[in-house]
Amino acid sequence: MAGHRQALTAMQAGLASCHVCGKLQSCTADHCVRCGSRLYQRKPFSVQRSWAFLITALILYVPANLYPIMNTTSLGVKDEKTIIGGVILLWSMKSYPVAVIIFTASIVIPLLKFLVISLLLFSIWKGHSGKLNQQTRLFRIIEYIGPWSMIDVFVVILLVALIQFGGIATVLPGSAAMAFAGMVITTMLSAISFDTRLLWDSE
Amino acid sequence: MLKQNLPIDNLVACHSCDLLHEKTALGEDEKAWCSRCGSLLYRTNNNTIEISLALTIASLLLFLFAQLLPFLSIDVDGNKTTIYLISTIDTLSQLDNVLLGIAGALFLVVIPLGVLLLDLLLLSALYSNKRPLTLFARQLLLLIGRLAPWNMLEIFLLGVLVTIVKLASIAEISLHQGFWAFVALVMINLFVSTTLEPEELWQAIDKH
Repeated sequence: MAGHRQALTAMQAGLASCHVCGKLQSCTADHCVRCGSRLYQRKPFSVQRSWAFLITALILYVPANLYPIMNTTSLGVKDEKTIIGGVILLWSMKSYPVAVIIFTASIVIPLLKFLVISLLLFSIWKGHSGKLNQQTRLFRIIEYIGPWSMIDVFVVILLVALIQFGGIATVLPGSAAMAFAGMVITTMLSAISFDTRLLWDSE
Repeated sequence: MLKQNLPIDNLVACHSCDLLHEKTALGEDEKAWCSRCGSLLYRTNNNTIEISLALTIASLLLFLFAQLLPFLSIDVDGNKTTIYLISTIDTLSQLDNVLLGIAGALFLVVIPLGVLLLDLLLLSALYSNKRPLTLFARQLLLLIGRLAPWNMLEIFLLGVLVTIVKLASIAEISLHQGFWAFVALVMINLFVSTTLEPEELWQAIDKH
């Protein structure tokens, strides 16, 4: 443990640690003395940007789940599968581990991200602190697992590419694929815009 | 309320909650945690620039192997097709779905290869310590930091495994050198990303 001499934040001391390289310096400078990035004490418009990306993601989540993510034609028979339809099919084929992976990555993780980020944004807005340690840890977990939602998009990309070659059937990406990829990217942007320091500022 | 008397060089601010801490010297493989929110403050790097450079060169070679060597083959009733990772991009580009092709090219080739090449440039500049190279070190490290969140090789590997399980029900799959090169690449990448500390690279750049 690094000892802290007094319970003082960088902001209270008139300091800023650069958001890009982490260099601690006086907040009076416009640009970081080390990496030259714009210097801020808090990420600019963090709450607004985070909300904007999160709402965009939420809107994309609807077509991502309602439209088919993959269209298969096998021996002239067309089959369109939504994300949840694919999970149900995998489950009925007894591919339990894969069904669980896809369900977690495509359904559970995005919902968790929506829930946690919006709760934290509300917490900042209301200014009541609650258990800030847990909130910070929760955010770090969400930030880490967020990109794993991309699995299903990668599976679609691979199946589309592989099965064109294999000649078994044709697989085409459904309209949900891009909506889903956009949803994952915008939730990641929402997390990147979020500044956990704002949670602690009300302390 | 600017406090002029604070010894800035001996202080570090938590990136999660902004609390100031006094820096203490760490032993090998030790980490310093924030006393308020429990986030990682800093750690010592057990990877020298030399080792990171060697691992980056190894990763680049493995990346080329993974893309250019046979990846896997699909066997449906004796009809065998061998697939190369790089050809997936070609197939995607032939579809009507331009956006998916772009997403595939970005996440499978452009971003991972870009990060590896930038790492190679930066680490070899710091290693060789030659003036014209180190001039761009700052920009290189900034760019690497921007691209890092979008480098999803390990997630792609899980996607590959899921795809194989899905295909195994309709066809016989055999894995080839390209696949194993890819697995090795992901392992090395994970190792490098958990040991390479950006703060130490910034300090190394500062010394030039």
